Amino acid sequence: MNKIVKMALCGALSFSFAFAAAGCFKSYENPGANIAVDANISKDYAGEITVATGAGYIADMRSVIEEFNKEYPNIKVNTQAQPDLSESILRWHNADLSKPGSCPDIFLNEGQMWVSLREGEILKDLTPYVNASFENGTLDKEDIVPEIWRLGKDGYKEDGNQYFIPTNYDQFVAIINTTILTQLGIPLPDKDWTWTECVEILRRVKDGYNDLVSNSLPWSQTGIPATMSLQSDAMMYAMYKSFGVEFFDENNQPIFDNANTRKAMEFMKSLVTAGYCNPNLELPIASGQVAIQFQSRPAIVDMQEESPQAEFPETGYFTVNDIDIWPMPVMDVEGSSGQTYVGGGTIGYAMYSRTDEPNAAWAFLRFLISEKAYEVYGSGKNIPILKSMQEDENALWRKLPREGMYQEAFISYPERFTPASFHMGMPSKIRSEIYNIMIQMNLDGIKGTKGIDETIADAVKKVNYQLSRV
Amino acid sequence: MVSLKSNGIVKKSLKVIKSSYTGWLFIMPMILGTILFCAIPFVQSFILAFMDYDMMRPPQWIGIENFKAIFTVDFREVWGSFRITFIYAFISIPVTMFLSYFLALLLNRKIPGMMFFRVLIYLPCIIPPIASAIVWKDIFAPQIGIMNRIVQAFGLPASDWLSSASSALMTIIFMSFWGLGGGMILWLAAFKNIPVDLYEAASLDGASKLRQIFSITIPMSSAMIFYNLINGVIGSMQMFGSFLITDNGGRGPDNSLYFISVRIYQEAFVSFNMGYASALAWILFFVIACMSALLFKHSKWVFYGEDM
Repeated sequence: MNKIVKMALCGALSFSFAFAAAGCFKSYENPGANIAVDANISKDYAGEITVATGAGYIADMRSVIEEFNKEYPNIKVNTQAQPDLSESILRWHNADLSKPGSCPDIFLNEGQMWVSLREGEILKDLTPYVNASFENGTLDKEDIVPEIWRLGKDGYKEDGNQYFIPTNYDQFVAIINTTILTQLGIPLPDKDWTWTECVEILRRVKDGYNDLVSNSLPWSQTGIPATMSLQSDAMMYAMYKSFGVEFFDENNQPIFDNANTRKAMEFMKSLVTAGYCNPNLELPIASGQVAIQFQSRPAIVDMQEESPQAEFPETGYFTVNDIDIWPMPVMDVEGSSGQTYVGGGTIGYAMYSRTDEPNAAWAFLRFLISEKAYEVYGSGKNIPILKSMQEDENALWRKLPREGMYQEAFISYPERFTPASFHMGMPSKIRSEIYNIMIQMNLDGIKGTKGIDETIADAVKKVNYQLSRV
Repeated sequence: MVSLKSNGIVKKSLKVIKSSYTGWLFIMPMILGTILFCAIPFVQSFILAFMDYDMMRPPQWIGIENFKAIFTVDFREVWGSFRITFIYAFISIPVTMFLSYFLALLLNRKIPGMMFFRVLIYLPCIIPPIASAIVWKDIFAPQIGIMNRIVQAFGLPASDWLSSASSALMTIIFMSFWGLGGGMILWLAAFKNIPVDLYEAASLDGASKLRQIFSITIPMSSAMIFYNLINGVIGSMQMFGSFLITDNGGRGPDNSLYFISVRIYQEAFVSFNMGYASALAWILFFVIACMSALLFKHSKWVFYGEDM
C-alpha cells in the first residue's frame, strides 16, 4: 500500500513537472499574422469580436455597440468587463497562446501599461490601418486633436507607430467653489489668472476660514483652502516642467539634481507649509469643504445636483451651482521658466496582436471616435478628441455637470497639455520603480520629510541603482 | 522479468483501488486541486526562477542570474523588505498571541452574556479584508480621521499614521490586533480540552488562580500555542495587507511598508519580472521553511495529549 501511494505521489509530481516545463518552453504561432490589412471593410462583413473594458464603462460600451451594429449589422461584438484589466490582459494573452481566441480582440488602455504591453508584443501596430483610413477618408486627420492623438503613438520607440486609439481629451483645470469666494468677499479671478493671484486667493480664503470658524460652516472645518493633488504624477510633472525641469535625458540619465528642481519644490512646499493644501488629504470639491480643487474631468462629471452631506447653513445644500471651472493658472512665480504646463491624459483602446479579426476590430476602433459613438459613449462625460465636436457649442460634453459652466477651460491652451510621461522611456523592468521614486521624491520634498537637498540626492541615488539593474 | 513485475504492481494497485475506490473518489477533488493549484504552480515557479519571463513573450533560460542579482546588486533593497517583514513578525506575533491568549482567559468564564463578548471580539474576523481596509483607511486618515480626533481629544498631537514613514509600520502592527478574535477562538477550543479534574486537584492542593494558569492552562494548551506560533510566523512573513490600505503601490510612504510579499507582487505584476519574482518567492519559501524548522527543533516544551 505504501509503495502504491509513493508511486502515485511520484507520478503526480512527474506529471506536474512535465506539465509545468512544457508550459515554460512552448513556442506559439500567431493566427492573425497573415491577414491582409483592409481598413474599410464592406458594411455586410460578417465576423465576431470581443471588446474588454473597465466595469465602469460597460453600459456605455453596449450603447456604442448598438450604434455600431446599425452600420455593421453582421459583426457581432461581445463585451467583457474586468475591474483590473492589466492583469486580465496578461491572463487572457497566456490563455490565448494555448487556445487562440481566448483573448479579447480589443481592450481598454487606461493607465500607462500600454508601453509594457507594446514591448511584450501584445498590442497590434495600428499604423497601416490609421494611414489607410486617413487616405480613404474614413478618418479625418485634420479634425483630430494632435496633442491627444500622439499619446497613442509610441514616442518612446524610434518608429513612433500607433498602438492605441485615444478616445477622450482630459486635462487639469481649477474647479472653484464660487460660493465660498463670494461669501468671503473675494473677487473671482480672470480666466487668464496667474499662480501669484491664485496664491493670494488661497491666502485670503485661509484668513477667511480663520475668521469664520466660529460660524461652524462645513467648508471652514478643515481649514484647508485647496485640494491640489500635488502627489499626483500629472500635477507634479507639469509643475516641475513649468520651472524648466526635465527628470531624465534621452539616455535615461537623471538630470533633475539642479536649482530649478529646488525652486519648483520650494514653491510647492510653500503652499503646503502655508496651509493652503495638504498632500495627504484628497478632499474633493464635491464635499463643499474646499474652495479650489485642481483636478481633471472625472472630479466633476458625476457630481450630483445636491450633496446633503455638505450643507451650507446660509445657502442650503452644496450644489453644482456653487462651482465653476477655470483654466489652470499661468505660471509666473519667481524662478519659473515663464512657460506654463498643464497635466493631462487620455484613455483609449488597443487591438490584440494575435486577433484573427483585425479588420473587423479596426472598423470598431475607428467607430469609437466617430461622432455617432460620442453621442452615446459616456453620455457627455468624455471630451471628444475631434476638434469639430470640441468646438461645437451644443455638444453634449459641455452640458455636464451643468450648463453654463466655463467648459472651455478643459480644451483651452492645448499647447500646455503635458502627460506624465517622464518614466515612459525607461526599460520595462524598472519603469514602475522609477515612477515611484519620482513621486516619492516630490512628496518628501513638499512635505519636508527630509531636507530638499537630501531628498533630491536620495532620489538620484535610487534612480542610479535602478539603472544599474538593467 | 520487468513486465512480469510491473504487471504484478498494476494488478496490486487495481486491487487496492477496487477495494477502496469510494475513498479514492472522495479525496480525488482534493488531489486534483492540489496538483492543479499547488503542485504545478510550485514546480513552474521553480523553473521560472531560472528564466527571464515578462508574461508576454516566451521565457528565456538565464540560469542563476535572478538569484545572483538578488544577492549582489539588489541585496540592500531586498534585505530592506525582509527587515521590514521581520520587524513586523517579531513585534506582531508575540503581542497578538499574548493579547488573544489574555482575551481568551478573560472570556473562558461561565458568566451571563459571555457569548455576546466572544461574538463581538470574533466579529472582525468575518469582515471581508477589503471592507476592513476601507474602514482602517478612514480611521487613520490624516487630519480628519477618527484616530486623530481621539488622540486630539486627549490633548495629544495629531499624527500622519499611515502617511508617514516613521509611523506607518507601527500603525500596521496596531491594525493586526483586528484579528485577535481568530486566535482567541483557538485558545478557547484548547481550554475546553483541558480536563477539569486537573483544576479541581490543584484547587484542593491550594493553588491560586494565577498558579493554575501557569501550571495547568499554559502547559496544557502548549500545542495550540505552538500551532498559533507556526501559523503566525508563516502568516506574518507573507504579510500583504499593506497593499490594500496604503498608497505607493502598497509600499507605504518612503517604502516603509515594502514587505517582501508586496515586493514579489510588484516585481511580478507591475514590473512584469515574473522570473525574478519567482526567485524571490523561493527565497521567501526557504526563509519560512528554515524558521519553521527551527521552531520545530526547539519544540520540546510542547505538550501533546498522547504524552499523558
